[in-house]
Amino acid sequence: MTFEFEPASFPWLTISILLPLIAAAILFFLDKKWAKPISIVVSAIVFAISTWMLFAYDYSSYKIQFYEKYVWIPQFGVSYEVGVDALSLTMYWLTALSFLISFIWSTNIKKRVKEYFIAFLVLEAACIGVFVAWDLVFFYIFWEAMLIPMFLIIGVWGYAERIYAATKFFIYTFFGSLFLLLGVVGLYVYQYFHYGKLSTSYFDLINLNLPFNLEIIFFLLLALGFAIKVPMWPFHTWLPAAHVQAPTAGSVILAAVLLKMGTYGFVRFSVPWFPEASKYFMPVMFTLGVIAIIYTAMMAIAQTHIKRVIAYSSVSHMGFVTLGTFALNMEGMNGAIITMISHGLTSAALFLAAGWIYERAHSYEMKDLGGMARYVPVFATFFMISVMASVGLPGLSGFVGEFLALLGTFKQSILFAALAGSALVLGAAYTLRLYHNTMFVEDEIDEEKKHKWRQLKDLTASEFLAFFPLIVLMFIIGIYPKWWIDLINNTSAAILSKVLGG
Amino acid sequence: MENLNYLWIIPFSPLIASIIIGIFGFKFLKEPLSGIVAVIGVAISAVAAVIGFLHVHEHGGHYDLKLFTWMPLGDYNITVSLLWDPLSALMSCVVTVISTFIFIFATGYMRGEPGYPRFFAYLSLFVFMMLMLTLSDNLVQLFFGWEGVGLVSYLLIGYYHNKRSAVNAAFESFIVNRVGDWSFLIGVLLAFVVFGTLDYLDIFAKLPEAGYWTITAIALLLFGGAVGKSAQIPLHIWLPNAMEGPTPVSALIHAATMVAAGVYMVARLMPIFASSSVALDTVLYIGTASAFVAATIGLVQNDIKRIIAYSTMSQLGYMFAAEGLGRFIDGMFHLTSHATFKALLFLAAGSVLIGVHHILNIWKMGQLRKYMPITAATFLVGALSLAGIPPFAGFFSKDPIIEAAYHINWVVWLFLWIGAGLTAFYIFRLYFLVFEDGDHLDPHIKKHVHESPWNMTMPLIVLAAATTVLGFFREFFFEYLRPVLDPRAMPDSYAPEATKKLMEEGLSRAEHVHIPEDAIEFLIESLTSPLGILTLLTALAGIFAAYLIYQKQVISYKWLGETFRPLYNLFYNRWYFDHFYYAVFVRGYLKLSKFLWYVGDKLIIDGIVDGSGKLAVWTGHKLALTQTGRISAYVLQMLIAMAIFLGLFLLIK
Repeated sequence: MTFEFEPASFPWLTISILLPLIAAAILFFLDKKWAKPISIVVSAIVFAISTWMLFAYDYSSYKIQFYEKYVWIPQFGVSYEVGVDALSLTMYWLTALSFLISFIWSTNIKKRVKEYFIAFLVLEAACIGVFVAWDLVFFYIFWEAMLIPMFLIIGVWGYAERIYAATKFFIYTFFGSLFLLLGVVGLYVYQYFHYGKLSTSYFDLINLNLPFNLEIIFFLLLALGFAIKVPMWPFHTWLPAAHVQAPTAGSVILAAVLLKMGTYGFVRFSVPWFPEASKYFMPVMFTLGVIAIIYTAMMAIAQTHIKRVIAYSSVSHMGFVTLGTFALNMEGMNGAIITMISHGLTSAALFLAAGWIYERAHSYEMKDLGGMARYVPVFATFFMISVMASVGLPGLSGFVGEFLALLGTFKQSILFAALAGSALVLGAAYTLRLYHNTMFVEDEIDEEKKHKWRQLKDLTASEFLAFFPLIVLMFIIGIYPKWWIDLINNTSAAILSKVLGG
Repeated sequence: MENLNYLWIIPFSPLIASIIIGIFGFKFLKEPLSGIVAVIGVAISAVAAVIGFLHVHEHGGHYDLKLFTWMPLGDYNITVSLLWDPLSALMSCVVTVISTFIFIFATGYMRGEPGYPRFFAYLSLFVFMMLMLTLSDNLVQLFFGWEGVGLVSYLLIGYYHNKRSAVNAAFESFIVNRVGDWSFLIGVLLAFVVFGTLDYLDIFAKLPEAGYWTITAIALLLFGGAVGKSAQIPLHIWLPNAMEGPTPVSALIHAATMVAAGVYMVARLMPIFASSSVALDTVLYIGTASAFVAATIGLVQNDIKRIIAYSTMSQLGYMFAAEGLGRFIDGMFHLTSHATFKALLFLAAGSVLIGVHHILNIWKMGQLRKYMPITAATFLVGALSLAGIPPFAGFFSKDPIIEAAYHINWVVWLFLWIGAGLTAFYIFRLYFLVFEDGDHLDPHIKKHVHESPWNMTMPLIVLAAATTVLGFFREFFFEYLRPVLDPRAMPDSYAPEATKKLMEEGLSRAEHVHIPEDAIEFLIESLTSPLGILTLLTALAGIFAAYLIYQKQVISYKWLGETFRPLYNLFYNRWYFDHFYYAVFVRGYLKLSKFLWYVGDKLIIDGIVDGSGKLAVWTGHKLALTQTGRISAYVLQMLIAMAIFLGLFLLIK
């Protein structure tokens, strides 16, 4: 497979990675009152760059665009190599958006304010790096670098059992990363022995033409790393723990960005690098995807902690991404990517809502909540729209991706598509239950609470500013998905070219 | 082709109204301006729909306005479009015109409610969604409208969301509908994979390429959606509980329009359904069973709205039966007439509820005719129409279905015929208990009972008048709908020859049935042929029985209840459907989920995860014990290790 490149006229991507890092470094020396404004400005600049790129990107071409390459260690074939195709671009854009929103939202941080924003800025740089890096050394550095700030965010600014959750998160993902590393190193060594070449570039490693049994082994190594990150059943239990303990902005990033790294890995590496193994494992991945959808939907309805419900719903939605990716056809791949974007929006919105509720009611437990809707109409409306987008109501973003992913799956297996379709019912059940138990049934709460709710302020200006763009985007994707499909279509075709081309 | 671009106004006028009310309603418009904006929005679309309706009447034909491409799917583009042909024109008129009157009624009914703007925002949004469903030219947009009306229905059932019962009913309706939608969506996917397109007309053209069982599977999967949306067995349980919503909602969404969407969908996709006799039989039997079961349950309910709700389910069953019999135009005609008189019945019931301050139990009412003469008279018109008494619309739309069944399938006929008798009985049981009968009304309330204001009675009078004359347009309806629902009159652009041939498979069952299309002729035949007289007498007998039991009290209903105890229990407990579903799908599912959570996630998976963590810590602790700090111990360890390695080395050697 050969790639063409469209060099960047200006190092936009490098700037996007460096800006947050530089800001973090400067913040270190400044007073804490500067932390929030600087973070917002920097992330706004990065978001502006990414949005501009979204429009500047030429989706009719197959080239890797905004491409930059600087040789670093020529002896080992390591270069700093960044660029975007539509997949990288949309994920990068989603990352920039999520961080901007998280910064705007983070008003109520009491302890270690400066460190909080520094951790997030470093995290932003690492996350963007993962999505735009094409050199495996840099990819892996970013992949691991992201663990540390996230570990701190959960461990320092989290709730009561934050240490357990942070440790669990760290060890789980680190365990997976080791296999990922093993796989990448293995491929590198194989490349040396068979081609006498040393290169850590994606564009070289993709052309290894592995024998089938090696493809299987490497597929499994990488898949373990990605599956934990997604997370796929049965590697998902770190996620509810982490979400429950993480601060709101941490949950937003975790759901909207970090989970996408796993699915990004599958789409970016597993499918194009190991086409035969991907075909071979299709039934396995379908099974895991469907189990994720159904099993975690059941987990979600068994919960009373609202963040845990949303966390399990994330796993369920990621099941659709798994299905779409391994349907190995255009509909499925487009569906997987759109679901990734849409889930980024809806899960971010739902975690914002959960955080909003906690800030007012000081509890995440359903038994302490309920009956708020009448007192906070704007919030209730936004929350309802997010819920509906999450359950895949046509006209909002969730439906587009699920429809395509289901269609792709259906073309491979009617059975798996029919089973996955149960999410229509099961997903609606736990999500609506979540909404009802927090917002409705005012008659069943006591007078004290009613009194408290009456004092509630609806969304504040900064909350509105964070929430509203998500709502608008849910509508935009739902009403006019053509724009997004056009954007990613050629990338999906390129990713699938080896699988489909035979 | 003439310029029909103005048709976009039909769906978007209510949408714009909804957005205006949604944004400005709470702060600026409030009451009553929100209501007025909503009425104007829907009235504009009604006028446009009627103009378009007449246009099709004069010029005929199909107009397909593609608004924009929603999503490209390989070579096929899913578009947002408006398909304007006799079927969608008729349905649009039914939706918009009836909506207009219900909206006007609602401005009175909802007076003083705290969520007044919210109500009208939802209601306008509903009309938009319903019209998107109606006017779609492809299955995805249909699904958009289909789920959209489901959403608004959910929001409006849960309108009084402070009440647990309303929230539960809303939840139930959404979930049960989603079960149907699951099936529907799989049907859409199958259709796309088979035909490579989702536009109706292209599917019709390509029908002959698909095998019989493929078509059957598509039809049955899509019908699964209709079963949910139109509250047919086994997905019917949500509809009676949906009566938790305000009464205008019950009239508009849960009687006249949304629940009829399933019937409309089957008619819309008639070439698919007619090409498979298995599919048609399924529609027929499910419709018949629902018609009968719902009528039996309606006999013994005590809640005024629930009785009418079961009646709705029963009448929808008649419509499906008509389609299953291959008489699609009869089905659509009954849909139209039912929409009119059932909206009337619900609005009249709403007027009663305002009068008696929202008492729902019909045993606590009575004598209301004295205080609410207009409501009583208009309700009577609706009841007579539902019972199938000429000259009201229900007679001209329902009796032909029963008669057709006699010529095609006598088992079906038997159930529909008995059902018709039960229908007449239960609606007049309601009428006598509420409007006539003795004096069960609370004296405190009685003092305040009075006729409703003009904006509530006016819609009642209009709908009653419509119910009275609509039946005589029977022949007009047949002429109007023939180009879309009768293969012999279909233009080739709608369905090519090969498809028409395919449709004979299902439609041949109705070929030998000749029921006059002209209303007067039908009336004369009904009064002269034995079958017609029998049907008519059955309805009269039902009314007379209700009169004897509840008005004259010649026969004691207590005695009846005791004598037929098992039957009474069966009907009163709604054939135990709800009990069964709640035990298995609600409590069972929750229990299983909790169990899985404890065993699967906590015990097994986290057991392994935390266990391996603990194991590592434990091993570390144990190994730490060896680090005693005494040189002698280290020397001993070293010697042991050396011995082992030496041994191994020798062994391998």
